Amino acid sequence: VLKMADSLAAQFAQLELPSLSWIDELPEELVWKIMDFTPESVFNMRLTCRKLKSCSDSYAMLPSSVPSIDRLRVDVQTKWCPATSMSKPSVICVSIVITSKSFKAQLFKSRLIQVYPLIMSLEGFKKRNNRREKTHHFDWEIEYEKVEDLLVTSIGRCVGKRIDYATLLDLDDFIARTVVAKIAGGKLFGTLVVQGISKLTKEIGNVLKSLTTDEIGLFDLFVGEIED
Amino acid sequence: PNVKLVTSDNEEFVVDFRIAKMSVTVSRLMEAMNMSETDDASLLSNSIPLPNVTKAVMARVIEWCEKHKNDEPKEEKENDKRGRTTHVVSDWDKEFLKNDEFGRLCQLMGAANYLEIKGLFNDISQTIANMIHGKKSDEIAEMFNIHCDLTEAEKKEIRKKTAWCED
Repeated sequence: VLKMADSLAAQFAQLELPSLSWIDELPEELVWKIMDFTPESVFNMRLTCRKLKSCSDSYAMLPSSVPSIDRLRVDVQTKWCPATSMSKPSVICVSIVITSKSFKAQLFKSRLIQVYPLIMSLEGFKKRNNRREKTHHFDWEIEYEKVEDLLVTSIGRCVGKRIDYATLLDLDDFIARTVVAKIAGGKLFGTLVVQGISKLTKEIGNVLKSLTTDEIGLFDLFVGEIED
Repeated sequence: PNVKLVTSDNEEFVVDFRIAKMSVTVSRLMEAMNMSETDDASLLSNSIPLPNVTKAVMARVIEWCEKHKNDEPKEEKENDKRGRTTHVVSDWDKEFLKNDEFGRLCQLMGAANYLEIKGLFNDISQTIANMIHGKKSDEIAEMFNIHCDLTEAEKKEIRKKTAWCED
């Protein structure tokens, strides 16, 4: 019996099995490593086969270390209604503007659509492409009462670890502070500009601490007065 | 001093101690087996089993290590200023990898990962990334001989998302 088993094993070893593509045999972590070197290709890789789709999807969901945006601006704006509809009150909105160089924008969009698929039909969201400057712009104008935790957290997950230039305004405002903490907390900044604080309170101080725990190239802070 | 490495297909490679130390995995194993550069007896009486590497792949790994054994340890930048992970593949390394078909590169990448030879691992990752960069999905599939097993419904869903992303 042992001889027969040995002989079968030898025959089995000689069988030529239909070979899978090497991509199928590469462990997911190694495919992610390749994606780290060419993040803009992630979307095209998704349509090749189920394995690469799965790798691309999980890559988009990883705690993002690869940065996907360059500039971030958060502020609070009042949206005035047209003169023809005087009966409607003006609406206070949180405005989030993200700018990303084209090669990174693909990764940002790829991450965003994965973690927040509702983005495709989200009201108050616009994206545009500046071909001359080779940048993409993502604008959210969210009514004050409709700021959704999942959306803001998702944006924070998608931007990656580093933001080249961030301008954060109106941190006096509670909602703006919450949005800023969720999007920009714990990131690395090339330049961080914080403006429009009339009075530096403990709450604002806590948000600033969450922004300044890591390396910052340049930090500009404009404050009216400091609370005792 | 020399170190004996034994591959999954029982081939023994005798390599210079410096080359063996280029692999973090081999270094750890030597440490665990009390093998040291100054103790010839320990090196002669032991061999390092490497069950995840075949002889053909090991030969390529050793060829790469031979070339790089005198390199200064260099600090890799995880992300460059533009936010992209980059690694400069030297001309010699480009030449070394250029004739490897994709399957062979994958085997070599797997071995470099298992042996923890960062320089070789990054060389291969960057080389494969360069092959993929700028290619459409059908070009990637053709280049790597990928059989598309996605259903029409899955493709439709992906295309819908792709269209949103490309818009």
